[in-house]
Amino acid sequence: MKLRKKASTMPFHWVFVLLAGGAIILLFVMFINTTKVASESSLSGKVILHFDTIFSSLATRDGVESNIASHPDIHLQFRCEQEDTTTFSTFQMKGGISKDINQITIFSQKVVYGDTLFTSISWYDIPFAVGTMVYLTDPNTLYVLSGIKEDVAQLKRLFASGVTYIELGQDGVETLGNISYRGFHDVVVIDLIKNGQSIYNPRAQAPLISNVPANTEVYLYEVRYDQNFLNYGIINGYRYTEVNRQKLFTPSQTVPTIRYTNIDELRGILHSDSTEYARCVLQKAYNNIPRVAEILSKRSELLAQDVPNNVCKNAYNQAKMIFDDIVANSENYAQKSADLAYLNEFLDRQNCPTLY
Amino acid sequence: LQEEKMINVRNQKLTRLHKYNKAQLQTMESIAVLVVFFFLIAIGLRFYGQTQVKEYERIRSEFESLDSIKVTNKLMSMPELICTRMNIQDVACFDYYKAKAWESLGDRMIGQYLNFFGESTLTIEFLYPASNEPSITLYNNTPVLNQNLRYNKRTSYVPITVYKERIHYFAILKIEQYNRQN
Repeated sequence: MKLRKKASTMPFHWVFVLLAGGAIILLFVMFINTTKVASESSLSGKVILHFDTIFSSLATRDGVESNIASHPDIHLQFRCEQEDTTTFSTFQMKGGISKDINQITIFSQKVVYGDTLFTSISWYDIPFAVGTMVYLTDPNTLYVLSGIKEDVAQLKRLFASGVTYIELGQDGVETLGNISYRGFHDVVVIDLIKNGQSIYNPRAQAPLISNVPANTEVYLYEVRYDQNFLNYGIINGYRYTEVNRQKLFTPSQTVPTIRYTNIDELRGILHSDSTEYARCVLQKAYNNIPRVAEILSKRSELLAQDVPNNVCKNAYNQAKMIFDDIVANSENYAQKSADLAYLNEFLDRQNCPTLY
Repeated sequence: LQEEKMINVRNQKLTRLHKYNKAQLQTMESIAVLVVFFFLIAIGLRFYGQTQVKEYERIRSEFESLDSIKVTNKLMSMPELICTRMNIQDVACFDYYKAKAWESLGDRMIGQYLNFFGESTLTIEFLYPASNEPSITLYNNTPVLNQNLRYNKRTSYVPITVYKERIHYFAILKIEQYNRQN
């Protein structure tokens, strides 16, 4: 009788405790999950905003190199989308919130990470400055340089000092097969081809490489030029993928080609991991041209009114017409650069304010 | 015997009633404990929520400060504004004619620079030697204030020099930024 009584009261008690306990645990689990998601999102937001401030601060001076301390777990992803001349670029922490970087022109691989990020800055001169360009790379990227010794020496100066690179033909490294790729996420092979002649021909060597780790991406940029590769040239971009692993760099389809007309554009393309991405970021830089040209045109007009020297007045009026041409058709800036450079030097000799 | 039986039955009934009351009391006690527990959790959550709101406000203020620094940095490095001679830039110096050119282009510039400066007003005020030189408004996108929209106004002053015809003027760059409040 006693046992039956106990049996009738105890289960009710335990069910009640279990239900209440379950509800409490559920509440706590939900609370912890919400807090975890919120704190992860808040952390990624903070990291992104701090990087954004760092990049904005960096993009202020010409010729500055900086190493940014980071954490290997922070993977920064860069994106740039283009529709006609309109571009939209963002960056984000892998899996986190994204931040637009339409104000800053950053050339980089799509993903950068490491304990230090290497940056260098230059003004984008066409020949007048229309903005700053930030070149970003990381310690997990290996640059393999191929070409005439003197040109390769100049090429090295386009990269920040902490960057890892290997020169073909130096230190006993004659072929791509001699290089150890272990530990690198990206490998960028740059072949300087002067007058159609490649010295080490990495594209032909590439199919023979067997020691590239599975998760390493390999890119080849063939820079074709006639005289000085820093001034003008065409770049063909090839990408090594899992699909054509056995046919490394062998183009199965149209090879993306991009043209450059000055050192800043070349530098930007070589810091990007695809010609498409470089084209999009370059478009962002091009979009500054008419805006700056319009202000410089108006400035020339004001100077022509204020400066007493008649010779200089003439030069300002000529410059105004050139700037107006660039505003009307910004693509022809390269043809106008020599005239502008001439007028600028002329004004400097006359001791009048220069155009830029 | 009959009476004894009746007394026994009554006693049994009373005992059962007493036990029932005791069980009811225990359940009520558990419920009371749970009520107090959930009450404490609710207070804790409210406290946590208030702390989070304060934290959010602090982060927001920090981001606004960072934004202000970004705008200043951006302005100090804009080729369409800073002093250059033969493409060599001068630190913390604005070219007078570039600034005047920018101002004369007026509202068209707002569309061009909306991405950079958003809702803000940027003015150059001359201090020395010609403090009577009229100030130059580079960008004026002051939001229209109404009852539905509230703004936080943050004003920063950056000392600069303005170069005009071989003279460096001391001036102040006034940056007024408007941040929408929720």
